[in-house]
Amino acid sequence: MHDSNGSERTGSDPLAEIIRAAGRRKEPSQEHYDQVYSAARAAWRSKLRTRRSKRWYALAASIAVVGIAGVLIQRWQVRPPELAGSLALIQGTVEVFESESETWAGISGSGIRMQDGARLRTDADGTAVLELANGGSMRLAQATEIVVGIDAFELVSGRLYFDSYSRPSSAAISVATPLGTVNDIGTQFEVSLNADALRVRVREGAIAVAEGGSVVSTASAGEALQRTLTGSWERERIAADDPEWRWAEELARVSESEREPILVYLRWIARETGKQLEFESPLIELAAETASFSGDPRGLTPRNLLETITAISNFSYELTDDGTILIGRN
Amino acid sequence: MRCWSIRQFLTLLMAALPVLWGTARADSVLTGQALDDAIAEFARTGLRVFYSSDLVRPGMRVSSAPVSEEPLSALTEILEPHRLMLRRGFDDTWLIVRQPRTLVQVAPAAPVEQQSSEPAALVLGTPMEEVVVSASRYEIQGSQSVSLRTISDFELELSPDIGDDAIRAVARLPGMASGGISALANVRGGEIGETLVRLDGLRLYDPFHLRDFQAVFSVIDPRVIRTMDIYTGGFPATYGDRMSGVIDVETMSAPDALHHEIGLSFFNSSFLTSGQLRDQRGEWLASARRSNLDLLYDRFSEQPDRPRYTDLFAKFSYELSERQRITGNILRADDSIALADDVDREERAKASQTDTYLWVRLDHNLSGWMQGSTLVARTVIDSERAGTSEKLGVSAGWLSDVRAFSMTRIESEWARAAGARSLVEFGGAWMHMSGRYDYNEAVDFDLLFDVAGAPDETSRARSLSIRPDGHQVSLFASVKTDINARLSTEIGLRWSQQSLQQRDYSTLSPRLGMRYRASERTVLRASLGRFHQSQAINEIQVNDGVATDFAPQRSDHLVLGVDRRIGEQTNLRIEAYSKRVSRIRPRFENLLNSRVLLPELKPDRLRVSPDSASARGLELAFDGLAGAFDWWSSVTWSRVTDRVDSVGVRRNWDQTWALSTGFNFDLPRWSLGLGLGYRSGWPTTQVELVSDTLFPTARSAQRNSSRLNAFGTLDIRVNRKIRLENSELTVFAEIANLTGRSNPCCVEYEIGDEQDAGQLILDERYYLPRIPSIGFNWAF
Repeated sequence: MHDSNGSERTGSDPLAEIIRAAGRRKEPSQEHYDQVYSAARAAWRSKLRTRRSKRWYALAASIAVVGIAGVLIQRWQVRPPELAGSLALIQGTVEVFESESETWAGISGSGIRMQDGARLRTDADGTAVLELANGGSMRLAQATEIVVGIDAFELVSGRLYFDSYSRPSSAAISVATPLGTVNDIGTQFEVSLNADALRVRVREGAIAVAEGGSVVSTASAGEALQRTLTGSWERERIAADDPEWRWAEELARVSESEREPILVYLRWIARETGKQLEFESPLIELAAETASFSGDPRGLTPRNLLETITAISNFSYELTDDGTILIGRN
Repeated sequence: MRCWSIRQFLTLLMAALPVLWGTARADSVLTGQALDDAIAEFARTGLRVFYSSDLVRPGMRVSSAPVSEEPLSALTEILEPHRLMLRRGFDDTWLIVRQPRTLVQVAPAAPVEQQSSEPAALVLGTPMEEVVVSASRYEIQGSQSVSLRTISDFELELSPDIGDDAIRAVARLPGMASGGISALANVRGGEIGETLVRLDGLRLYDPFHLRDFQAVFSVIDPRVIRTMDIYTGGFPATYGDRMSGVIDVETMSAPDALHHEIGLSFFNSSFLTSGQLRDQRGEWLASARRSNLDLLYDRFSEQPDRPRYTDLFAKFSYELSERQRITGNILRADDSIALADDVDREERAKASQTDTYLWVRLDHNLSGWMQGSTLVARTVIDSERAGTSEKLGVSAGWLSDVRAFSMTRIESEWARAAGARSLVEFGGAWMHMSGRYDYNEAVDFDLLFDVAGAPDETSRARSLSIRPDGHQVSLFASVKTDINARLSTEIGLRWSQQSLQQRDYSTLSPRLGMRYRASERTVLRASLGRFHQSQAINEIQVNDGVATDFAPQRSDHLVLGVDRRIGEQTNLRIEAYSKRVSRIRPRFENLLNSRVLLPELKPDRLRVSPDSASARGLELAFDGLAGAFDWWSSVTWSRVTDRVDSVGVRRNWDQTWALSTGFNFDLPRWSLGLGLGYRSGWPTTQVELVSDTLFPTARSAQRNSSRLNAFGTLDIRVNRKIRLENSELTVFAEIANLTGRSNPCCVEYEIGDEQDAGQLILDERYYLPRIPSIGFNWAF
């Protein structure tokens, strides 16, 4: 601090007076400085190494604990089977095999979830529809037993019908039987296994039958394959609206929807009944595209839905001899 | 005393409104709600119900709240006014279906005199969507439609096409008197101009081609029509300023997909297009027609003159939000007409007219229980007319006529639920109008008629030029109420004030309608009301030498009706009506021959000035359905008379008996329609030349004391639908007046020359002969 004329002020602080009296400390020599510095640095490095070692030990221990815990958890945890689908419709006696008690237990209602590997069977008066998690529907006729899979099913006995509608092509399914495996190629087909007879009917698309991993036969829409006692395959024709399909048609159920165009339902009906859909004029088709259907149609069979639609609208229908649903107007 | 009654009525109505309004907040709001929304609410209670937009149309509303609290009964009640019902479906489901048989009347072919190629579909008493209590309401469905609504309509599909003229189809209804050539009929004894024609909410003024020459064709393409509501009397307060009938036309909405039609017939060529924007919020509908009459004239007429007309209708609609939609419309009609009488080559007339209607309509849906629309419109009507008559032995002529009018109109109408049992409708309109008449005339008569109101000078020269200007304001309100499960009422009041040519007129028009469900099969209806009709700016009778307007005319209606379902397939409707008309303004008509190009230049042109008039009638209508066979039949007795100097005189269109019957046989690809119309001959007047005058003068017995022979026509039409790839072709052939019957319409007259010199020669003339037509409509 300076006064106005620049002279130092003599202070009244005694401590400052003493420090000033002692004068500036003498500088150590370079040699001494280097010795002290080396000793201090060596001591610091030693201490640091010790600390780092402790960290590595802690980290390694932690990893080991986590690893061991993971293994234990994995070993302790029971992996649940993957969801294969749910039962959308149960009619009559339908049973599922309970592995714990190793007994068949009756089930009822709808929405029951079926896991991969579950065993399902229908009695002589039972039918069921399994909506698959990956899309598509599997319908079981009376007296049928299957092992449910994600993509691979096993038909133990009886008759099933598969419709791959809405299922991605990458998730094609297969139905294994003791007499061969049926692989779908985007289709509607039926597999029937009774005693030593395996029959496959194709309503839409195509299938391939494999034995021992090798494709032995294929069939496309309108064809039926029957495995003979000699192991060869016989081929027959079956129309898409043949009465033989009626059992599967009776199990068809439209999914929940609201105020969809009537045309959507008509197309679904035509597909499920295996018939061609035609309109008396393009204008009527346009009308069907614009008019909407309201109400929850679940529970109605295709033919009941057709009757319902024509009752609540001005549309009419005619089933022609050539397998066509001809839509007209009243 | 009468004024006091009206005040009382008004006071009561206004007092009732707040009460009803207040009730709305307490009760459940169902009246006025969209019908499909109401059904969905029932479905949410656990009722499994199926329905389609084919029958439960988007525009349907709950007209009155149900009385029952039980869901099935309540649902049945709200469906009934729309002629829908519940039916058991599969399992525990319920289906909303059409009632076993609606009152359907199908007119398979056009009247012989209409020159229209296509027959009509008349639907009696079909869905009472808007008015449940009015008697005398009919609905006509449009024909080959761009829209799904018409295509999907049950009644329409059963019928052949309306063809070139939608409004002409009205003539098939009971109570209508068709003048033969004009497209518009007289409604229950009223004059032709007493019918209100609205298109998508806008009033049209004489919407006809060849307007000054019998108004042969209407300007509305039937293919754009979704529905036509026709009131033949007792209509609600929503409609005003006309006192006999209402034709309320609603146009189609566009379907989802692009749709086009090309049509060709003897009478016109046409093109129609419709579609929606990609986001489905906007849609358009446009129709253009061109007359082919000039081409026919090229083939059959030796005269150089050719009639030509075109019309265009277009609308673009855009959904501004879920609750607001705006629609811009244009209707334009152009006529360039030159006509000459090919027989005598003495009558010649030319005219050009252009009618332009532009309007924007904003539809609001403020909530499920309050809806309305606001409309702003500009109407411009221009016409020019020339003349010459030069008919030796009758009159010489010349006529010139220039008219131009413009109207600007703002209108708003609203409907609001008022409690669970009532619906209030209210609205108002303001219109400014201006125009001009520039009229000339020069006539030399070779004959005079010694009849009251006929010209009494052998020559005449006129030149009237006026420029009327004024405005019109109107307000209305009506309340529809379900008194109980059986009885419904509609009380309405309309006030109107018009100023034209410095004169102001105010009118009050109370209306009352009642509907009583006597049983499941029987409904009784009654309408009582007062109707006023002011003189529109384009109706000043300048062409007949009148330069001023008159006070509004007044008509009191009483209509009683019974609807009865007989069995499952047959319906019966009986209606009796009585009308009393007062404050009648003079009208001008021709005593013997109205079928002339220039009626003002004829010596038989009369000024008829009744003190009052009355009309009475009884109508009986049946219809039924048996598979693809649809039949209908109606019989009408009526009488309409003017009171002139305390003497009753039948009006020119008085017809004691009228029969209308026919059937339609519809198959998927073929349809056959056949219609028969028969009526008493219209009145005519016996005349004879008198010898006690220097100038040839005809004297008559009492006017309209005789009758022409009866009118009859048998019409047939065949349609063949041909399905093409992605399109449909409909080919049709029809014959109007299949038997070629000669139906007298009028009496032509002249003072003879040469051998018949000085004699009055009378010659009966006829409506149109057998007229075949073929055509096609290609929809793609």
